[in-house]
Amino acid sequence: MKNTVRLGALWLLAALLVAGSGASSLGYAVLLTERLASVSANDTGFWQLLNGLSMVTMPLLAAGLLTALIALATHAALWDRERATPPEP
Amino acid sequence: MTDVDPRFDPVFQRGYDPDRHGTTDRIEPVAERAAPVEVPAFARTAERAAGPTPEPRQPDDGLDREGARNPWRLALLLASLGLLFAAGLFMWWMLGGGLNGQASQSDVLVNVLQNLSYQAPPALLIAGFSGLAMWLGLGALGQRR
Repeated sequence: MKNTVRLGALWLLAALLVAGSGASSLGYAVLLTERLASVSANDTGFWQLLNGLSMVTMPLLAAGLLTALIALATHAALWDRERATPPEP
Repeated sequence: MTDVDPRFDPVFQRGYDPDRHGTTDRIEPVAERAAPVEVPAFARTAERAAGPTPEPRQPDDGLDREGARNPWRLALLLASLGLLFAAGLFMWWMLGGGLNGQASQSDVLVNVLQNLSYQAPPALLIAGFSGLAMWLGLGALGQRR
């Protein structure tokens, strides 16, 4: 597999993770806004979903940002390696 | 060193007959036959006055590598500092009251911001400090090479 494909996959993963974090945050807010007034305390499914969405937002955001930084570091390492490699005779 | 092209040796010429032409010495290289050139006295004086001649710097030595700026490493540093700055801003905003004055359970945007204001700073801090660590590690690897 070429480096370009690997790097593309890395950037795509970073974008997906950050987007997932945003989606979970939005879902949490929508659930809270639309259903909190009408939901009962015994509706365990609702509360589990709400807690789950709240819990995954931060890890997904951190993982997405970290993946993007790793992609940047990979670019930097490849740039260094290309400069260190002597040109073909 | 006698790395003269053997094509010029009479032994290998067309029609060469050892009985008729006899054995001949192989051609000596021109460099070996040339008499040493006498350096004029004034040139030696000028050479001594100029001091030792510095060796020409190779284009790919360590100085060149250090001088070159890696744009990706710079981007990594700026992104990490930006994430830490954003985390600081979020925390400063929350400590200043955040959305407490206008918190409303009926507004989706307010709820998103409320959720993010609690969730984003740890993620930004983790990513920012990790990015700084990566930047330092890449710098150390670049020095080692």
